[in-house]
Amino acid sequence: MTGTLGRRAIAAALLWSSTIPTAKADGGEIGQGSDLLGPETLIYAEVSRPGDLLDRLTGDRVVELLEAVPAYSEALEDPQFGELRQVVEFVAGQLETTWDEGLRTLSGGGVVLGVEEADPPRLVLVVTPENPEFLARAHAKLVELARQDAEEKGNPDPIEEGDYRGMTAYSLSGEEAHAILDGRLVITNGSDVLHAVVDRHLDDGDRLTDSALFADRRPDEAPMAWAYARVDRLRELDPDRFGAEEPDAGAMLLLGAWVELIRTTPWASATLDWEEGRLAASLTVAAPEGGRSELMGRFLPAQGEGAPPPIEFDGRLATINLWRDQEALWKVREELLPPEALQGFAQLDSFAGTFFGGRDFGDSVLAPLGSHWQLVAAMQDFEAMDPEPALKLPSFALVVELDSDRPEFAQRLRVAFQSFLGLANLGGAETGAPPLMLGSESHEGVPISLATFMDTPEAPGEAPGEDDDPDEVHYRHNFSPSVAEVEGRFIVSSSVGLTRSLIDALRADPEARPTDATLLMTADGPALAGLVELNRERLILQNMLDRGNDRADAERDVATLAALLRYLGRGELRLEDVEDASTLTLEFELGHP
Amino acid sequence: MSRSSLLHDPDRAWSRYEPTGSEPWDLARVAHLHRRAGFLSPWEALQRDLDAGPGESISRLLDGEPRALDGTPAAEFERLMDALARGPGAAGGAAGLQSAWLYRMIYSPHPLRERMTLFWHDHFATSIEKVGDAQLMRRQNDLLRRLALGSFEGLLRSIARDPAMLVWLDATASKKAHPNENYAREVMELFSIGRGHYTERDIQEAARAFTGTFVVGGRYRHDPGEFDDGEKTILGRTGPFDGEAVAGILLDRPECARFLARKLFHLFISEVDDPSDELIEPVAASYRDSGYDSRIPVEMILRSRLFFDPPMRRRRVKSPVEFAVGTIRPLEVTSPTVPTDDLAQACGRMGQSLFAPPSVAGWDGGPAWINTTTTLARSNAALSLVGDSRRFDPDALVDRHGHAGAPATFFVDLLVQDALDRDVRTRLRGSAREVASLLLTAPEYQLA
Repeated sequence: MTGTLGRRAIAAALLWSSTIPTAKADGGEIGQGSDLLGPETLIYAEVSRPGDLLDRLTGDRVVELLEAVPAYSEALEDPQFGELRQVVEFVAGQLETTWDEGLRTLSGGGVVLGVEEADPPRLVLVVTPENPEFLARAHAKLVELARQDAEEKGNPDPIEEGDYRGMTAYSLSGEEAHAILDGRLVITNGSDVLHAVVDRHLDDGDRLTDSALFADRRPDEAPMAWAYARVDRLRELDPDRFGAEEPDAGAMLLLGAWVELIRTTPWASATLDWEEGRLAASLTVAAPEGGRSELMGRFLPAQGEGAPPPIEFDGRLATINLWRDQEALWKVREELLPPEALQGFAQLDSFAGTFFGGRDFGDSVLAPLGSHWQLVAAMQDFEAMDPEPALKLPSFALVVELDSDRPEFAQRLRVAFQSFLGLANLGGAETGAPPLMLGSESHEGVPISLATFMDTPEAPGEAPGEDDDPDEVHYRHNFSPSVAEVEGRFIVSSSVGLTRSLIDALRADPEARPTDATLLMTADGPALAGLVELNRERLILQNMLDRGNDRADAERDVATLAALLRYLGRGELRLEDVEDASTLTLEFELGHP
Repeated sequence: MSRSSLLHDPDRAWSRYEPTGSEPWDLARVAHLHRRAGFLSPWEALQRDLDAGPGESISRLLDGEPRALDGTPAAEFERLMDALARGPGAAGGAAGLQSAWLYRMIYSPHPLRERMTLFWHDHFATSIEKVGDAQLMRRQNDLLRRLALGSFEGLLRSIARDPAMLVWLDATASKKAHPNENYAREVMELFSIGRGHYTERDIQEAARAFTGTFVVGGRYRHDPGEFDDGEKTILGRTGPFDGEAVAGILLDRPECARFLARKLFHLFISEVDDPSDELIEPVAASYRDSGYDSRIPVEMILRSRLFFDPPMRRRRVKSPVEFAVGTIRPLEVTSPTVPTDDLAQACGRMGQSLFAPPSVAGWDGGPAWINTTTTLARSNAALSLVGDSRRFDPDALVDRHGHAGAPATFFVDLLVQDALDRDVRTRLRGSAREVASLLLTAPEYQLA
């Protein structure tokens, strides 16, 4: 009746249920699965509310997303998927339920996975049903179907059975063993592991739940899912994995504090919450017991003096907001970075002299800049552009604080901007690119230095027989570099339009309170999806070259990207560093694909 | 390796091939036609043409298929490919242009036109490494494609005004007081009549005719004020010639058609045989008499007995691009195909970077394609393709074409036909993937 896939489906389903008599046949209290794990558990993961997870997966938003993804409807047409669906529906029908209701009943009490320290590591999965009787019935049916299927095909019994301390243990292969223990399905990576779990339970051995470390890590309000890992022990067991090569200079400067944490943290934990309109995940990494090093402390802002809040203005696509005392890091660069990287940084001193009239990059360039750095990406008014570029790129800007005690530095920056443009024009003259014309304007009383690409002049002479084959309008026309100083901040932007928007925004909220985060990133999925739509044709063509797709498949990829961006809605990534831990939080206000 | 007796008998050589009992229209001939006049084709196309006969098959190659390999109607496909080259192709510089052209070759409904475009790219060799501007190179490539099987006269006249060519030859400002001789030299030596048929004086005089030529903002411009309108004597003719007139003078020379016909002989027939003037003359005459319609000599060659004569098989070394595209098409690695950026890099490692020939004389070609480095690169490219299980399923390909259980037979028939000794053929065993790997890295497969 069923094919290979069907047999696989039955086998997989067996892992979700069992019919054997339970160790406490009188029906003990159904608890979370963590009490079945040992204290030597190194990695622990728990889905506390599988029902909520199923609700989300089958909810309107996800269904809308899947329906918006062309590959999904194709997958539904796939014969293998059809066969799998038939098997699942058949099994659900035999149990007088539907597949999702069945799954809810089987796993509604929670799912727990533990990796216990041993050689090889012991894997233990505990599934707690809402209704133990249903678990027993479902397992019986699946065993019956699997055996019936094997018998019809003349194959040997695929399921081994054996007694252990008055209960029956099952095994689908030598690498798996499972049983029902106290009304819960316990799946392990071997009979000896299963026996150890049963022994611990029946003999009231030491449990993970007795561990103070575990209890301290457990969130007070259970999220949909959470996990934790004993990183100190994992590091001892597998030093190579955690003692990786020295990070390069860029990674060290960007993620220095985290690089140290990964090497020294005793534990890490993660959570996942998924509500109807919100998806949030977090990762917390503990500081070592002795605290952070003085060197890495330079990566941490004072409490309440972290990254600036994102600048609010229309058309914003994404922001990166960072607290970073670059001058402090510059001073300790020899302790932070390898010698080869320092050689490259030495060139910055000559760079400082060329463009800023100073002798030292730290003193003359970094010192006059504050600790608040912001990178902004924004949509542009492409229709207002003349000419309108074929490839439509967002505009970008860097906004950085200026030291009020160094008022001359803004002028230095303007001169440096002009010098850069001069160099760009020299390079452009060699390649035939049109030159950038310097200009200026005043916006709300704020002077803006800017540059625009000069129109190509009409060439003299005759053009006999020239065919009508216009090139596409170059993407350089997305750019009109500009700089401005406003409210103690300096703006370097790829377009004058964005500079104006930033001037308005900073004027409207000149004293925005810093956040507690070291790094704060935001992205507007629907707005980015709009940019994808604007460049749809171009992205399709690029996809064909990059991935070798034909046009139809390339269209599907681009449609999927746009749908995913719309679904993810507004996203925020926040990195907070406090004395005893660092926490990375990712949160999405979900939209509609 | 035996030589064809037809090489010494022009009348028989260029007479039309008609299948006979001793010269049947068989798979080896069909594959030879597709290999030389395209990039080898999928099994179904070979079988279709085996049934159709040579007349219809050759016409189809000359006119193009109604649909591209991905099923897109031909006209729509060409529009899409133009957009691909104009957009991400040109924006990606040399790599983007290479990638876009390889993509076009893989799916093209008109592989002969792409082969001829590649031929003219080698003939009018221009490199982006000096030109710098990808849009200029794209426009030149479009010109070559537009006239690939059309008027050589139009091509020669247009190339004299092609900005990429003029930048390449440092001829972007040829003034009356300082005529630039580069283009005048190359148009005689490499583009039309060949070395030995002109003097230095002819070059100097022709250079005067090309004065007034400028490239401004990536566009050709003619400045009458800088044109030397005095009398010039070029190849024995005197007058106030301009560039157009020089092209006419060159096309009128008998050496011109012979020079081109000889190059077409090397492209389609053999690059190891040096044809006599007697053998070449009928092709040259057809070219000349047609007013330099390139389709005429090409068709004459493709329909000839000499073309289909068995000793003329594998008388060329596949260029890296022929090797790469000619492997992807018959193996039907098309949904999706390989990322063509990677393919362009692989071709570069094999010795052929499109849009970047090594000199004004183009690629050396022939045995120069094969050395220890490029042979290793060919093997790596072939094994990478065959090992890409997401894109290439050899068992499914064999099954799809009714050869389940006989992968060796199928892949020999598809890829090398009669090239292997019977002994080698009987010893060819293994899984479909193993057989495909062995054949693609075999010496015989490197020949066209």
